[in-house]
Amino acid sequence: MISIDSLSVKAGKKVLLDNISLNLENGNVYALLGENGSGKTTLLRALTSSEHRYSGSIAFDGKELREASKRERETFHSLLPQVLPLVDITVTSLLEIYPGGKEILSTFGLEKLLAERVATLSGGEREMVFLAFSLSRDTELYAFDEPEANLDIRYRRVFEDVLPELKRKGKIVIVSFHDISRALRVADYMITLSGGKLASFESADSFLSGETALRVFDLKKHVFFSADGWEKVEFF
Amino acid sequence: MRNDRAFPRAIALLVSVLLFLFFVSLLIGSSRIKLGNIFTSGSSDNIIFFSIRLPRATAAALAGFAFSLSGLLLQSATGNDLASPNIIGMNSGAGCAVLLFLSCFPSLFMFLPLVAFVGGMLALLLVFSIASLVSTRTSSSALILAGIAVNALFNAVISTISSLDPDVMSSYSAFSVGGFASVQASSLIVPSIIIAFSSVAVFSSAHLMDTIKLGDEIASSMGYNPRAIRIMLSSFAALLAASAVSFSGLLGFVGLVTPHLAEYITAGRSCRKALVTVLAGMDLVLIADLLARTVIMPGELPAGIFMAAVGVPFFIFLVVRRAKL
Repeated sequence: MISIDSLSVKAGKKVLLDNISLNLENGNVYALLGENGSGKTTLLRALTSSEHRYSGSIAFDGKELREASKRERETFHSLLPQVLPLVDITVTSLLEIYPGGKEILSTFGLEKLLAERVATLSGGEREMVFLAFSLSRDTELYAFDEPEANLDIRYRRVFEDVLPELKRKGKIVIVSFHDISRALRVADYMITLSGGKLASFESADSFLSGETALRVFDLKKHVFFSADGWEKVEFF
Repeated sequence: MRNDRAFPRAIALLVSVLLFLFFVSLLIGSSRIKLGNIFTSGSSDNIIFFSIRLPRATAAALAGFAFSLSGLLLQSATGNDLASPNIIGMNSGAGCAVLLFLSCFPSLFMFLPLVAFVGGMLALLLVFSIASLVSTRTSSSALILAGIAVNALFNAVISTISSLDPDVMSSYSAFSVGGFASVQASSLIVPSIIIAFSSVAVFSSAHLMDTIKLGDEIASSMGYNPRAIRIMLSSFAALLAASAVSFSGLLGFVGLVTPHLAEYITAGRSCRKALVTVLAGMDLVLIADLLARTVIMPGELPAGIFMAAVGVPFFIFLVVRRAKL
């Protein structure tokens, strides 16, 4: 379990995160929603030791993150950042840093990329390679920062299929989204940020039936039915 | 060249070239020596071989090694392909200190290596302190920007001194181009100890260079402290370059070229890359020095000129080839 207590992040006078408190339980997928600048990336960075200017507490199973050793932090968290590095190394050498990385890329059907250099890949391919890298690490938390922004429908399906396995292993997964419908499709819980504050923290079912989308994003829910009986929910 | 066989082949080639160049450097020079006489103590061949040629070839190899590794460390630390010992103020700092010292104490030129070392380290400290004032998230470009500012400052001081005291310019120009004409074995002892110590540290922590390449966010999420890694890598870069500057002058350009060659051959793994980088650096500086003292034999030109003559076309070739990959 990850316990976040009174977490605030300030950059100069600007408040990026304001007094966030919540608990993340193992075996769940948490979707992180919020407008641009609402603090999604800052929260993910703080949870993965990239953001040190925070006050309050982040604890992995009771162990305070800022007091954790290098070795402990390596087992705590794995981050797939929003902006991926354009490194001039081969995909193989990247995925050999941790064992099993190449095999994960093969399960995505992308073993043809192994001989390429990371810097020459397309945006979607690079995202998949770094997703494989992130999954090759054995950690408690997997944080994915807007992974779907660069992905076409085919790769989004691959990403979606990764999540049940992580849940089954009892991992904590937190994924930031711009698209509410996509978030609802994969998440157990919805964390909604607004202006750095926690606007709501509720189950996906409660989000779907409640008023959070209207209150925070001013988006109305629209339900469509297909001819063969499927229900499709869109917010706009 | 991108397959797994490229690396062992490149190493074999670079090592044979290195041995060949080293022996040729020992045999060729403005005076002819007979190999049979070099172990006859007191003979002129013995003195030339052990007091002039051997220190000189060693100095060239050592400088190539140190500048190249320094360039590689700086390129890793800053994530910028254009980083080299010059860019962090090493050249202008060392140059400025040497010029200032020559101007004040023209007769004490035996202290120039020490002065160059101190000047280079001071410039580097200045670059680091300016860079650390800038926000931590942009630390890689901060180092480059601070380096440019410090370079500009020291170059202005260099111009001022040379306008006020034109006499020192002749001594200074040999130093600023770089070369090994007056290297003595005694001036290599301290630098080679520092270089050996730094290299062991660098090669045993090569995986940190791999990590930092993945960007601060991923490196942090792997438990590392990217800022501390950057500072460590750049400090070793400074030690290496300042040690080499102290006996070779401002030959830092080799540090820009060789990491690019290594990148081209090794596709990434830092330990391999470091090995190719230092071997290529030694080869390149040995070639430059060999040309420097043979082209207008028995006269001599500064090795720095040939460094540029060999290095620049080679560098352009590499950059163009890489752009096409």
